[in-house]
Amino acid sequence: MQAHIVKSFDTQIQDLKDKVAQMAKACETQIESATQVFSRMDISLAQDIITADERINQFQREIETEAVQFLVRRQPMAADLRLPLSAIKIASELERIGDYTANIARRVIKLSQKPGPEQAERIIKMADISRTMLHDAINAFLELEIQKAVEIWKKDDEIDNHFSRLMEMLRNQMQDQTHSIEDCTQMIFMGRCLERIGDHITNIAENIYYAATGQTYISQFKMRQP
Amino acid sequence: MEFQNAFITKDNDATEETMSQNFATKNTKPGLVPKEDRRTVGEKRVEHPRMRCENVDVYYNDGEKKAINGVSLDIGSNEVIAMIGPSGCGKSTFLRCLNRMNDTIDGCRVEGQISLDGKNIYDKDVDVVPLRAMIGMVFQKPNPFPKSIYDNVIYGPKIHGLVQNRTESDELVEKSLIRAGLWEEVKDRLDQPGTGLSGGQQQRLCIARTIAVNPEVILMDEPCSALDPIATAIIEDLIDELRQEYSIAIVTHSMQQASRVSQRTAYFHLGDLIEIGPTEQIFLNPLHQLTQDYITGRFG
Repeated sequence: MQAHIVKSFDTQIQDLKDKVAQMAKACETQIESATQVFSRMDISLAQDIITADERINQFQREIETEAVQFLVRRQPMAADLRLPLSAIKIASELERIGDYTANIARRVIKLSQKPGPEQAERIIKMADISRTMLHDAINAFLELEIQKAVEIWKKDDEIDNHFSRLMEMLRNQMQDQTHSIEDCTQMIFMGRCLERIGDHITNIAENIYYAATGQTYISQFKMRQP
Repeated sequence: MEFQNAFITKDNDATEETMSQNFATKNTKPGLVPKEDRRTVGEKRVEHPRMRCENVDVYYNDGEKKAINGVSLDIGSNEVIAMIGPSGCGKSTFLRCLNRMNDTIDGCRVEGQISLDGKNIYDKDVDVVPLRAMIGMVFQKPNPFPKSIYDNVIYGPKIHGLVQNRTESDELVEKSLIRAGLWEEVKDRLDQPGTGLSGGQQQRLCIARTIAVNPEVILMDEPCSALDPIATAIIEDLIDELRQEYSIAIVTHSMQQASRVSQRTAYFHLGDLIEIGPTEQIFLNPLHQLTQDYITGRFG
C-alpha cells in the first residue's frame, strides 16, 4: 500500500503488525516446545511452557491497548480501520492457542508411560501441521496475502483427519488395554487441544482475509476458484 | 466478490470482468479497481430518485477547462448524500449545478441532464428563481442578510408569494425556526439583526431561511467548516431530522462528518465521480484504489 501522508501513522500500523507477529511467533515456539515435551517426555520443559504462557497473555493485553489507542487517536478508515480490528481478534485467537499449548504440557506431565509410536506419530503430526499453519499465518498477516490465508484455512482439514484417526486408535486401545485408559484419556485431550489450535488458526486466516478484503467469509473466495 | 459485484453498475462502467481480472492478476492483494480506471464504480441509482443526473459535464472559461466529466448519480428522497474528495475535485462545482448556481459564472457551461422529479432543470422554460426555492442552498460561511432574524426568514417566502398577511408570516417564521432548532434561542429577539448571532446560530438561521420557502432538496456546501464541534453536532442533528422531509446533498472535507450524517457517499477525483455507494461501504470497504487512498490519507 502507498505510504501514508502522516509518517507516524505508518509507524504505528507497522508496530501493531510487528507485535502481532511477535505474539504469533511466541505461540509457534510454544507449539514446538509442547511437541518436544511430548516426544521426549521431558517434564522439566513442560513447566517452562506453562510459565511462558503468561507472556502470551501479556502480549494480548498490549495488542488490545495499542489497537484501541490507534483507533481513538487516528480514527482510521477502510483498510486502516480493518487492520486494528483484525489485530485485536487475532490476538485473542493466539491467546487461546497459548492456553492449549500449556494444557498439552500439563497433560504430558500426567502420562504414566511413553505413548505407543502410532499414537505419538499422529499427535506430533498434528502439532507439526498446526505449527506450519501458524508460521504461514504470520507471513500472510504481515503482507495481507489472501491467497496464503485461503491455503492456511484449507489446511485445517488435514489436522481434522489426523484427529479422527487418532480418536479411532485410542478408542480401540482403551477397549483392548483397559489399564491404559488413563493415558489414553490424556491423549484424547491433547488431540482435542491440537484440533482446537487448528480451528483458531483458521479463524486467524479469516481475520487476515477480512483485513485484506473487507469480506467476512473466506468461503466466498473458495467458490470463485475454478 | 458477490458483495462487491452488487455495487458495480453495468452501463459503461467498470464491469464485472475488469473487477475479476483485477482480482485474478493480483490474486494475493485485495481487488481494488486500479487508479487509472476512472469509470464510476458503485450504485449510482436509487429506487426513488428526487434528483437524477445524467452524464453531466461542466466547462469553465468558455470550454477551455473541463471541471466535471460525465457524472451520473441519483439523489434519493429522504436521503443525505455526502460528496467528498480533495480540493479541486469538482464536488462543489457539481453541487452548484444542482440548483443552477453555476449560471451566474461567466463562461461556465453545463451539459447533460439534471432533473428534479423527472423535469430537466436546464430546460429553457425553467425559471431559476422558484427553482432555487425548491432546491435551496446553505453555504460554508453563514451569510444572513443584514436584516432582523424575522426578516431573514420571511424574505424568501415574501418574494415567492407564500405568505399573505402578518399572521401567516408569524406562523411561518416560528415554524421554520423551530424546524431549524433555533426558535427557543431567538424567540424573544426576532427583531434583532441576524448578524448578531453566533456562527452556529447564524448557520441555523440560514437553514431556517432555506426551509421557509418549502424546498424539496437542500444543498449544503461545507456547512460546518466554520463552526466549533458543539455547533457542528447541533447542525448534524438537524440534518438527521431534516432528512425526514427533504433530500440533502452535502459537500464536506470532513470524512468523519460524511460518515456520520450521510446514507450514501460519492467520491470525486479531478472531475470524475470515482465511486458512489452506501456510506458504510465507502468507509469500511471501498471498491476503488483512489477512494481508499483518499479516505485513508494516502492521497498524493
